[in-house]
Amino acid sequence: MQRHQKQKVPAVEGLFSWPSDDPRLIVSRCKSCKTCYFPAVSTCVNPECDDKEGVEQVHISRRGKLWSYTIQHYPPPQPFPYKSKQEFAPFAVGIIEFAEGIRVAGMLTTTENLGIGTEYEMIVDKLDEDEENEYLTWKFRPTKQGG
Amino acid sequence: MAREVAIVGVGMHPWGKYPEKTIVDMCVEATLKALQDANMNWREVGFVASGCSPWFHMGGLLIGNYMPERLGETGVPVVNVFNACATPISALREAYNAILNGESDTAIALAADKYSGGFFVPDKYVGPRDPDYLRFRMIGLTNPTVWALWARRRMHVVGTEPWHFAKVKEKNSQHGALNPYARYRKVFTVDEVLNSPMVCDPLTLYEICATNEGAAAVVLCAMDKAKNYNSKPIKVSAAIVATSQFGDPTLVIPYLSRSAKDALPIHSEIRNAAQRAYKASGLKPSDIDVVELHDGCSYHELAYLEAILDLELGESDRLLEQGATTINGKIPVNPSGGSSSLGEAISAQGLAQASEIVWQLRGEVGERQVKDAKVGLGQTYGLMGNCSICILERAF
Repeated sequence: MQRHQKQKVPAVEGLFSWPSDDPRLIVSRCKSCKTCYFPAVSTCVNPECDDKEGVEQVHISRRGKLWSYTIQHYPPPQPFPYKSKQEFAPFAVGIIEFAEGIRVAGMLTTTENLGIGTEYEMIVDKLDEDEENEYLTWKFRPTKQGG
Repeated sequence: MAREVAIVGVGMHPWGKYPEKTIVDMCVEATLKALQDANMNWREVGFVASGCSPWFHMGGLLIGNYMPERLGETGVPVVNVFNACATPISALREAYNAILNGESDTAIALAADKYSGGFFVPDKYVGPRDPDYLRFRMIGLTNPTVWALWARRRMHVVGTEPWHFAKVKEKNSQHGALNPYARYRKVFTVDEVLNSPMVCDPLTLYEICATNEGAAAVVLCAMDKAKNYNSKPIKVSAAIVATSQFGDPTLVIPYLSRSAKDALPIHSEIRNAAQRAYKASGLKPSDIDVVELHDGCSYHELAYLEAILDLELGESDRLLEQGATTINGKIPVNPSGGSSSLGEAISAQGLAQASEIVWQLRGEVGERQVKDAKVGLGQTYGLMGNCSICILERAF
């Protein structure tokens, strides 16, 4: 019996461009002070900015530098995909600093050779699935230079 | 001349697991202990400020209103406040302000919590675009995960080593062993802490406090009436809340991003609350004899102490190395054993801190007594960049 191909869909819409060959995180950038916010927001919260012109949604660079990291040794609670302690494998979480002046948290694709300041790139990867869909999130992967 | 406000009674239900008691039962016990300590009758209480525990609906959210229901329907004004982990000192602030502004001559601040179920999970009502949902769903970003990210950054910036985090736990376990109200009273060595299971690298299991149950109450009155109730009144010199500020690089829980402007030092909500508390009290960091701070994990004790006492980044590591933060040190931190030993009863923790400081300033804590303590500071940090601080002074 032939199984139909599951659809690949973002676990939550509007966080990264999808479908895309070059997916990027979607941020709000203040038109006045250029501060970026992720996820996208409707107003700039910089108290020194008058925000006269509002914010616009833009994509940020694919690549950035690791600012901090940790390795998660215990399964996080749901709504993170459920894993029993036996089937759970430790994974890394990092904060990446982008040239646009924003730092964003996300899962890293590896727990090996983590170092602050090394270069990572954003990718889209599977989080979990149900009968119909495969659900996607953003992750950060070391670039050749970084890894 | 502004009115002065005194604490004339404190009471704690021991921290631990009490499945046989309701949250209201525990709060009533703490309240009766505090009233007894103040030689005050419930009928004399002119204002009630209660910290809410949101996980228990009516019993937790309207806990203050259960006190007249249990202790006497006197018509007393009741407010119930919630400010995440900054809740209990926010309740103290309400009670303090009610006396300060002349609304009442007496007041009680009380709080209880019974959330002892491990990791926090997002509220089911917030919707998929809420950052508290997104952080769990998309990244698995728990509170300890964020703390570990802060801790790793600290290691990079100031050279803190895993040994320092373990040493904080060793020190607090030595203090907590002397505290009959603490849930965990076993002394751990640095090696035992480092060898406990890794939770979020670099933080190990013994370095992260457990969610817990507890209740505490603080009885206040106008200073000119204090001697009617207690021969050892303690002055409330400040009861303050503050929030975090744009330009602070700290990734605030539950958010997913932060501007990299780096215009301010980290943990701005704590620096803001501390500065406001010093201004309100007319005191300065060097006046503080004892600190009870919010050690959700070992990292916090190092970073928060620097924010509270306005120290250079990294200075807490030196103080720790010198033994300065032990009970007999230059600036004792968490003589109660902190959340590390008590466990954290979220909505009540700050009143446990206030109780400990009152006993310290009265000289009533025996083996864990900080010698000649005259001024104490209590601090709790709340989710979404909220910080509360109280400064208490001996007034006898």
